[in-house]
Amino acid sequence: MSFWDMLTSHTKVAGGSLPLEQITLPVAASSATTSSHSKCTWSSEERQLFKTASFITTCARKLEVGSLVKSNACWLFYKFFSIVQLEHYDEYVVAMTCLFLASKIEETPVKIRDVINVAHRTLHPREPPLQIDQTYSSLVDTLINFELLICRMLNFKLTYDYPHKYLLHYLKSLTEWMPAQHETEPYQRVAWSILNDCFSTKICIRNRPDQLALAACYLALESCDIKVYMQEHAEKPWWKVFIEDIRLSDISQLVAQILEMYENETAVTSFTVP
Amino acid sequence: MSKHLERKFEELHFPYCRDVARYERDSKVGQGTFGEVFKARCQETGRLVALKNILMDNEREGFPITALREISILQLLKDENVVKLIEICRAKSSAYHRFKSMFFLVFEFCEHDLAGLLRSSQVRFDLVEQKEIMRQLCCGLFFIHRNKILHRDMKSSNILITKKGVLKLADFGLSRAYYSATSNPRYTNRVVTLWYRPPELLLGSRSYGPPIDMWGAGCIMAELWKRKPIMQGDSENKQLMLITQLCGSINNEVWPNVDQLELYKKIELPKDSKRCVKERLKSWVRNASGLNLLDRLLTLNPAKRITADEALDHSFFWEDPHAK
Repeated sequence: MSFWDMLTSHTKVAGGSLPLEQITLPVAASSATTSSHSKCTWSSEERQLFKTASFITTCARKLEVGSLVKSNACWLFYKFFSIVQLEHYDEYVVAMTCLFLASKIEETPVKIRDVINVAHRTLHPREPPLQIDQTYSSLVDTLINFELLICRMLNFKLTYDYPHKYLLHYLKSLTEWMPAQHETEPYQRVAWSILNDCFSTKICIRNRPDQLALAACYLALESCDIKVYMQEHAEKPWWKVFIEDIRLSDISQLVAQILEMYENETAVTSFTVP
Repeated sequence: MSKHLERKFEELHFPYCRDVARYERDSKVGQGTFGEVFKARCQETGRLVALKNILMDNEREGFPITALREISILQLLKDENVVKLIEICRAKSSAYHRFKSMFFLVFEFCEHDLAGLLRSSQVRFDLVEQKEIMRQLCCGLFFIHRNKILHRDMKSSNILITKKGVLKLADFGLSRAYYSATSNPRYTNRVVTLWYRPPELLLGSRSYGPPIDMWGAGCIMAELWKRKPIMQGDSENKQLMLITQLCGSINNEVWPNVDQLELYKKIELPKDSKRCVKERLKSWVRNASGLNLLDRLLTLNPAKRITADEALDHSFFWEDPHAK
């Protein structure tokens, strides 16, 4: 479920207005939200990468590997293309390889055959399934070689400090602090969706994992119009409890990045995965 | 392969992963199922290292998941008592290797392994040294277990000791992350060298945890005095038999729900064996609290077996003569 789906489902539940208006945004981002929806601020390369990351998401869902594998695959994908040029590699082969590699890293290994078949079906929905022939076996070889290439290019730094565990910690602490009436509110699910969506763009490799998780949490609370309990009497704002050195400007800068991503997503959703 | 393509392969350049040629190989120091281990010296810094080849033969599913595990686990575990992974290097592909990719794990070099020291008749251990080895072993296990990692191949040859006397857990080739007891995992039970394999694995358990490494620590502790592995079975049946003879019969009384384990009913074991860990080992381990710790490490029921954390609090480490 995308962030916008979450928002609409929330609106139905709570019966309120679209809560996004209440978010305080830096100037650049707020002008982006009010401007026409058809404008996309991504370069063609960023758009291409976004499409391929969405392809990873689609394949990951079909392979039922879970969001951690998906996130790791997207992270590997963006890491790889942050050191090489997009036009030098077939981005879909890289994407398939990242997904295959990530499934092993996260201890839910997927058969190479399944990755190839699912990717083929996703890319060519109208064509018949792949036969076990020369094409198929060269695809296997390609994936295996690409896997080693990615390992070498990333110098075997294949895992990192996931924002997910930070978010889990933040949400758990918040839930215990908040009055019980908020338990029915979907802010937790919204926060998870926001964080997962962040892996469709470079946001996932550009930011500190703890700060990204906090921004997802912040945006989710604002979207659901939930105030942190007793905040007005507190000595320091709630986010400082989680990350000592974070400033409100850091959060709004991250939130702006995330909102820009959703704006751009809306602008390019006319595409379907080929 | 065409000559042109061959040349291209040989010229391939990977700027982010260094060439293993920067280490000058000295001698082979290990050989096992996992491949060869070489002693080598860094040409720039002169530092001694151990090079371990990652085997990638007949891999149909790409880069082996076991190697990925070993790499990510070693990158995560940074501790005095865990062998240090310096980097990962590649070898230049060449016609000689049919252009296969080769990778090496580069470790800090440790002069000794415990099995070698115990075999050598010139090396003697006094009580203080035996305590020190056990203390560092428990520290290492405490650290990896706290990080939710199982070693799964405890044995004296995987315990390295530097010339300064620092113990290092090594060979994480079978290790993996484990999850909390709430989930119901199904890990393979085909791990741990037979002589060090705990009863729960021999009985087919697939949802085990840190106690499997503690059993190995118990076997190693006894070995420190006996100078050889204490239970040398040649089959899984024989191994269970030896365990029963030492630790007593396995039944629901000493180990609730053991009959739920897959192989419990399929294996015939003596029903009236008495536990005699202390009696059998007291002529070797002439120290009461040492015997007590050993007894608690070699506990049949994994839920009752002493943990690394508890072991470090054991009086064995807190009474005279003290470990260093």
